[in-house]
Amino acid sequence: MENLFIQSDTTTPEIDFKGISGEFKFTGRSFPENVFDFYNPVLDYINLYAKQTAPETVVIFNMSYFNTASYKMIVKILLAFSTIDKNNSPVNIKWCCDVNDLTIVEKGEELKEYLKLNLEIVQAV
Amino acid sequence: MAFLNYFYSKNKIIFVFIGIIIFSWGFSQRAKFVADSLETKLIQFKKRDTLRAEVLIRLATAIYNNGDLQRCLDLVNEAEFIADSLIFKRGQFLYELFYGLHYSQRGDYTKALEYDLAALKIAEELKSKPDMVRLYRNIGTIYHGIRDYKEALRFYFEGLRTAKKEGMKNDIAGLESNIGIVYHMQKEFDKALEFYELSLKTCEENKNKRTKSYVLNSIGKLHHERAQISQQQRDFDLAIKYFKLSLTIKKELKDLKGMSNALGNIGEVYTDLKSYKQALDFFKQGEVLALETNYKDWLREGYSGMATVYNFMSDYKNALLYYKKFMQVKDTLDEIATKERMTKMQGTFDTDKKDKEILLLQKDNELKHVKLGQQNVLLISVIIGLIIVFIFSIIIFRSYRTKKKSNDMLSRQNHIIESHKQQLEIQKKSVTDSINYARKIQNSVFPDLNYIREFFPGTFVCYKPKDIVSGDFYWFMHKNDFSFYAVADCTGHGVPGAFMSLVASSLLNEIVNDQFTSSPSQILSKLHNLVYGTFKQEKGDEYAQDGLDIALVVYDHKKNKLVFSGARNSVIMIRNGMAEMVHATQKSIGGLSIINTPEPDRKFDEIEIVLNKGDLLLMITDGVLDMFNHKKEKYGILRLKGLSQLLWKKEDPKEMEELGNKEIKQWLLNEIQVDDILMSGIKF
Repeated sequence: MENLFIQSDTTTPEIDFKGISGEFKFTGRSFPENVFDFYNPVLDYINLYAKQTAPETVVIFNMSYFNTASYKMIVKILLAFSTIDKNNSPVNIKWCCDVNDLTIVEKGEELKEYLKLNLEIVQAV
Repeated sequence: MAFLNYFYSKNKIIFVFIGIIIFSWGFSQRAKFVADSLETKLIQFKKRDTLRAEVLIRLATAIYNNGDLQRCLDLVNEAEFIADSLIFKRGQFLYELFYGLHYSQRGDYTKALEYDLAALKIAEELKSKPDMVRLYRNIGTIYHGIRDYKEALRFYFEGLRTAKKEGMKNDIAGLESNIGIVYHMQKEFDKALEFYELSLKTCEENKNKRTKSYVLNSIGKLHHERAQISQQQRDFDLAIKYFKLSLTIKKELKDLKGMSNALGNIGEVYTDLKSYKQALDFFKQGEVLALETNYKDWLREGYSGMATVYNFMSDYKNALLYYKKFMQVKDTLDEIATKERMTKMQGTFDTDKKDKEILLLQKDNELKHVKLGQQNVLLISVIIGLIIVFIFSIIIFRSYRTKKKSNDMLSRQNHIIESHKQQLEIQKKSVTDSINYARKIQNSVFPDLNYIREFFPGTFVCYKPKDIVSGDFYWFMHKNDFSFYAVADCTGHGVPGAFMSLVASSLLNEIVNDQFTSSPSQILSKLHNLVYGTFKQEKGDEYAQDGLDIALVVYDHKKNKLVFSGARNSVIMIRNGMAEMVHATQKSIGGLSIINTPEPDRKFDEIEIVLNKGDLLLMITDGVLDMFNHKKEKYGILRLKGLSQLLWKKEDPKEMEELGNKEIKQWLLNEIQVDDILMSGIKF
């Protein structure tokens, strides 16, 4: 499986996916005009990965800001990962943020509770 | 003298070898269509990522045969840079493969080998078996071509092993046949035969007629060579038998050139058997087909064969006639070969090398003609001179035409862009006008600050939309002895956000007017019911799943009591200079639950706050916390608490507003504002 790398832009985060080793990284801010244009290829990649997963999957979310529309896409993305987790291989999600940033921390806790995810909130470096 | 010996002649090997690559990497006649769609993609994928790298190489491959070599190399160069800097393996694989193809096209087999080996290494790392098999085969073919049989066999066998594991039948048949040919060329007839038979079997399993016909021809060839040594009738018979089998399949495939090859080969066997009449019969059948397909290579060998036969038959008149025909075809072929080599050199950008090669070629030509002793040296030089002049005039003419074409296109495009720009400006003005008007409407819906101050004298508002209109709004109402005040943040910003804010504030008016309740949590529950129903949100994603986050306070003027309820929007209370969060319930108003399940009813917590004189209540929307400065630092809750303490020290609400606005402006400076901003406070 090929890697996927998308450079960050003013309104979109950096995407760095390594399907073979099962590493998925989101870094930056997300408030694009049209979330589907940006996130659909990302979701396609994850769905493709679901067919042939690595023994262990690590997802690193390091996003300092996302708007409501982006948050909905993040939920979709994490739902896809939780399906992978249930089906074949364990998925560990690292929710990196400034632990004083309550908005992001609360969103992480909410996702963990609703999607029953193996999600750990860690201080971003 | 031999027919269908494409594996014996170096040039032809490379020709077939390139054919394989061209076929498998898909730049056929549809190339122009593919190239056009790739050009469009290249414009779309501006960012230097893996997608762009792949498009660059695919485009270079697609336009390779169109002649703009410099552009191809530029494209691949950029792809190389991207793939290397991102360690994008597939990209690296593709560019190595591209260079392998490029150098073998130019006849530089040492370099082609170098790049193909590099591509193979990456294909191995990527564990892409089909690519590996193809490369083993290609590399084997190059070694085969430069007559390094040991290495050729090594790669063929490696390819065979992998192809067998992957069940790639066509490749297995081809590789077995190639191995047979290598042994054949080294005169190891038994081993060669063994592999030819294996290949035949594979072809049959796989119904691969084309390869089967080649292998049958090779076996015929092998028996013919044996017969020439042993002079046994049995071997001659076998040779004829296999050439005839090959001929039958070529007929089925309607491969006229293939048929003429088989016929010519049979003619040669009969010549050796001294059955001259039969030999002539087969040669003549072959000649008809070769003339029909303008198959010059055949004609050269065939005419020579026929001249020989007539010679043996002592028919010197015909022998001379066919010898002349043979010379004619041979001269034409030599000329074509020279032309082809010159054209190839035209594409060479390395001038030194080009000059050297031209010199070599000229010397080569001269030598050949001196040997022949029949051709006029002067005539040849004139022809070469003319060819060079011809080539240069084509180059000049083409570059002139291309330049003119691109100039015309540029001016046309400029015109189109200019008119688009005007249209866009008109459209933009009309949209902006309409949004500016929308702002007027939104401002009229906002409560009048002076009216609010009749009930809360210490109220201030800092309001800064991301666009002209905003999804953030504040709302106020006074009824009986109760004052209701809210700060809310609707999903989205700009026009959609503003729509939502108008709906939400009129629903709030409706709830407080129609229902007799002063409980903020009940008002929020009702507001959720109404938003959920109004937007038909139970029907799922087809309908707007928008909503809002809100902080609502209700002040009882008689009891000097403040009750707060929040939907995902907390407030800050500052008392005696100490700032403290009063937390909202972590649920929004409106929308399905986050996992898209229906949720028509939501309950919200209520918190009662007994007020002291001088307390400051600060209500904000997310946009305040999410302000980024030029160092990409978020404003965040700690800084907000600091600001709220400074605000608390002020008495005059106008000064508070000034301080708030100044803080926002200083933090943002020229940075992009990610969301609408609203901050409002009441000093009691």
